[in-house]
Amino acid sequence: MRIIISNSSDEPIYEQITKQIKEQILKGELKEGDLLPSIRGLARDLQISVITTKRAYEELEREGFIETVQGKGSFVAGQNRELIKEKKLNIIEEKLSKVVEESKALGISFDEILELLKILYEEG
Amino acid sequence: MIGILKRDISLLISSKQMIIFMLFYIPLLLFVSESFVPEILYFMILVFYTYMMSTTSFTYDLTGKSKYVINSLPINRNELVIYKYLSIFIYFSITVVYAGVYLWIINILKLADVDYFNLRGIMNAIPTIMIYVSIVFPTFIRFEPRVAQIINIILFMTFSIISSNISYTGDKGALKYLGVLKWEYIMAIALVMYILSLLLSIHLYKNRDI
Amino acid sequence: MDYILEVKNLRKEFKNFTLDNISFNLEPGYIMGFIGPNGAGKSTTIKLIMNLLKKDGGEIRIFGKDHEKYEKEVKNRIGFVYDENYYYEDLTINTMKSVVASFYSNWDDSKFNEYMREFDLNPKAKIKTLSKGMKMKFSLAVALSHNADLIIMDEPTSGLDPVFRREILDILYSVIQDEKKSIFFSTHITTDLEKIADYITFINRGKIVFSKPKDDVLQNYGIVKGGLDILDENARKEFIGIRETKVGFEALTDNMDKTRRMFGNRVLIERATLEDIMVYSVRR
Repeated sequence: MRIIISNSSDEPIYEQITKQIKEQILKGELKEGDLLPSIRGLARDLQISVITTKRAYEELEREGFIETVQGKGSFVAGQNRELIKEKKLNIIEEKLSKVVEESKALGISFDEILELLKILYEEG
Repeated sequence: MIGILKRDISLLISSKQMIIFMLFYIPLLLFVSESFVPEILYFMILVFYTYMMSTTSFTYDLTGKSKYVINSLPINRNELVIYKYLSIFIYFSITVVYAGVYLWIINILKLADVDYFNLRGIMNAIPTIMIYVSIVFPTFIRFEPRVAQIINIILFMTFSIISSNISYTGDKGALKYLGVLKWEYIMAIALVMYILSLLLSIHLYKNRDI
Repeated sequence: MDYILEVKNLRKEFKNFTLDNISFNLEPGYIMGFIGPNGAGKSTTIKLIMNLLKKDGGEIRIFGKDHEKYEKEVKNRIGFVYDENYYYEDLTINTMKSVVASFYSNWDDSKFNEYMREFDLNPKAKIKTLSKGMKMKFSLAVALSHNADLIIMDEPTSGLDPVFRREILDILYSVIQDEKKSIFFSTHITTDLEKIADYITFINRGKIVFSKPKDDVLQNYGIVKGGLDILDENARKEFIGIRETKVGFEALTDNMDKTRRMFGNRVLIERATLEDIMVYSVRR
């Protein structure tokens, strides 16, 4: 498991954590049933406040990514295929809506975006 | 309470000032007081030494930076005061033994003619110390260290002057005069003062800002 | 809510200074940083909590019990570390330890020895031969060797180099792995707290300015920079500790979002550090 946080980023630390854990779960790097570090252990490793890690885990639990068992710890929740697909799409949707917003502000047309997407997809 | 005793003894042992006093005060007194009646000398040694140890230990927790430590430990303020009052008897016993041995050695070496154990001296010393402490301890708690020290010194000098005067006049007359005051009465007064002082100190210390 | 430390409306009057209406709470399992400039009342507050000074008003409860009525019981579970470590210079570490240990019912000698090894301290050394850092480590070892549930530290890291301070922080992180223990840590070296603290209580001139989760503080307070033309009556009300120069102004805001909405692109807003918050607040 890998979590790297930036102190200088504008993004709140707890969000950085949730994001990275979500990604790893969706990519399959973290599998169902995997044990996550304790909130205190994580706070210590990242040298941040326990409240931050607690908040991150709480949010992950709310969104169904992890499950916490009293006395045992937090585990990656079972993700059914459709839900995973949906979550993945959500992430992309978020990013795309930002692209759409900016393009409109800069006056770039839908077709131009499509062209760009094609080129980028084929490159990668 | 044993903990505080341990600390006090450790501190007394490791204080250079204390060691110097312990070693050299007796010879100093002997040197200065050739015409002293041995009994009075013995009495003075007992009182001075006990007094020195008692007041030095007493101030550890009232002045200087270390006062914060003892008062942050799980200890009752009342307990601390009671301990300090009781500890004078421990110091007294130590003094009796220490002075006894020291003076006995001096006798054996025929350096001077001294009493190394005198029951009357001991009996007179006990109420004297109790009265002394009854006055001095609350003073330290109530007043600023500097003020208390001044009072302390005045008392100390008064006592020294009185006892040396009695000794110098050397006549059995003065001693006899003292002997008129029954020991029992003096002891009773000392005990009452001691207990009142203890209660006063407890009250004062309870409300004191360290 | 079971707080490990509750201070309510604490009050203490001195000739030239009054500590007034001090209130804050700390739950088990968290670290609270207590910040403020010199003379703000940090040490006084701690001394009042430890009953070294007698309070003139208010309530202090530790482990749910009144700190005066249950003084001995409460202090048995408190580990304290003070600035300057007022230990007896002439004694050795061992002697000092045995004096202190005899007061605590849960003294753990093996733990103490472990810390001695970890900190590389010689138990036979006289306290006066120790450097400031070593004295501090010794204090910490003592504070952590009797199963204390609350660690109270008064400026423990002032005068110590950054490497050392980081080491202390690591130790504190270990302590806090136990969610029943809490740490109350006063300092004016705020960088130490920026990482480790869960809550920040800021005191200035004898009054509490705020007592909040650290994340909230760091997310809401910001440094605002802009041109002097912006500073009208209304603007001034929004900012704290305004510093005006010929080329513009700098100030603190306790609500970055509001400031952003009000002034938009006309100002530059950056995150404030705890030190910034302290400096600008004091300037006011």
